[in-house]
Amino acid sequence: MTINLITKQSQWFGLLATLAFFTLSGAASGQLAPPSGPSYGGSVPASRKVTSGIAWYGVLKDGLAEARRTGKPILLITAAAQCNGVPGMW
Amino acid sequence: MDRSFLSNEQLIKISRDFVCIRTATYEDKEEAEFLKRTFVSRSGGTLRNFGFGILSPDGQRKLRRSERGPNFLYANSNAMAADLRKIASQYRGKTTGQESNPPVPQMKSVRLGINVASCDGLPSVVVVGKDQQEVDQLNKKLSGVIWDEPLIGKFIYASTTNRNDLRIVSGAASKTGILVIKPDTYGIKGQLITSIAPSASDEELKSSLASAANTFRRNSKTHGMHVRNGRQSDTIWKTEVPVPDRVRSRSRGAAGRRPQR
Repeated sequence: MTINLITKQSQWFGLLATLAFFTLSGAASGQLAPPSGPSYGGSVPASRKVTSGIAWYGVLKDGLAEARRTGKPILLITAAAQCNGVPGMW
Repeated sequence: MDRSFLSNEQLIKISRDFVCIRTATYEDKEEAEFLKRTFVSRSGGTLRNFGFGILSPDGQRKLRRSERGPNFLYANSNAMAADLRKIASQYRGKTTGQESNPPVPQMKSVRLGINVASCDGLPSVVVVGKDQQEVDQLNKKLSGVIWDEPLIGKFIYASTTNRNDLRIVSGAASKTGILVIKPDTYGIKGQLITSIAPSASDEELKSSLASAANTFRRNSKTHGMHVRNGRQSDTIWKTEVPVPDRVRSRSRGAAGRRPQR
């Protein structure tokens, strides 16, 4: 009876340890969820109206060329234009 | 839902003293190499979906620590705006080229432009010409009006000489010139809002764009619902560069890709 209980506890512990391992290793090396909070790659305000925003160069070499031309520092963001493979959302 | 860290008024104002680059991660091999150098630590790792940095004008030197997002570096938008003002003041007086307009900030392709426009909740503007020379002329005309405050940062731009690129835009099949497009919820397709003739004057161009921006209403989206509905309807974006996403590859089958090792 005691041995059976210990065996069952060991099985549960093994299962939990396996789950924890896969969860943590996935988070460490896989694509992470977007940063939490209101900081996204986009600059989408709550309003449904279009307001003036940051004017982003979408092609790296175009932006780098413009920075070299003007001597302005660079504000750089990279953001995937899909979330979990679904487009239309940073 | 307000994801507005970067839509703070002070932040937008000071951003004009910077060249702002926002690459679409996983959409260009060459860019991915630069981004890895900037955002992936020397000890290794893979390029993640988001990254944020402030670089010197030659793009070689980090002026601030690179992070996954501005909120990892700054407590709030106002703190970020204050730091950007500080950085900009060190370069003011050294900047050049103010006598000519900056070029139009383009996306790499019409397809990506419409997707990004949908992400941002902005109209997409596509310059369509019969050849590159016409596209260049139209872009030059555009650059003369879009940097003025009433229009700046209100559109996502792309150009093409290939009519096939417009197959995803209803109502745009036979159009040339400057097209204003409303992206759909997923940024997969678009609908023509207006087309501006290549012969339009600067004033006509400016007023047409202003009118399109003023009447545009972004699609209302919430993050979780959007992703859930997209996955249920199998609306999946194919990236140019494989996404290192073990989770997606496990759950999406063919739609997901194995991570790069």
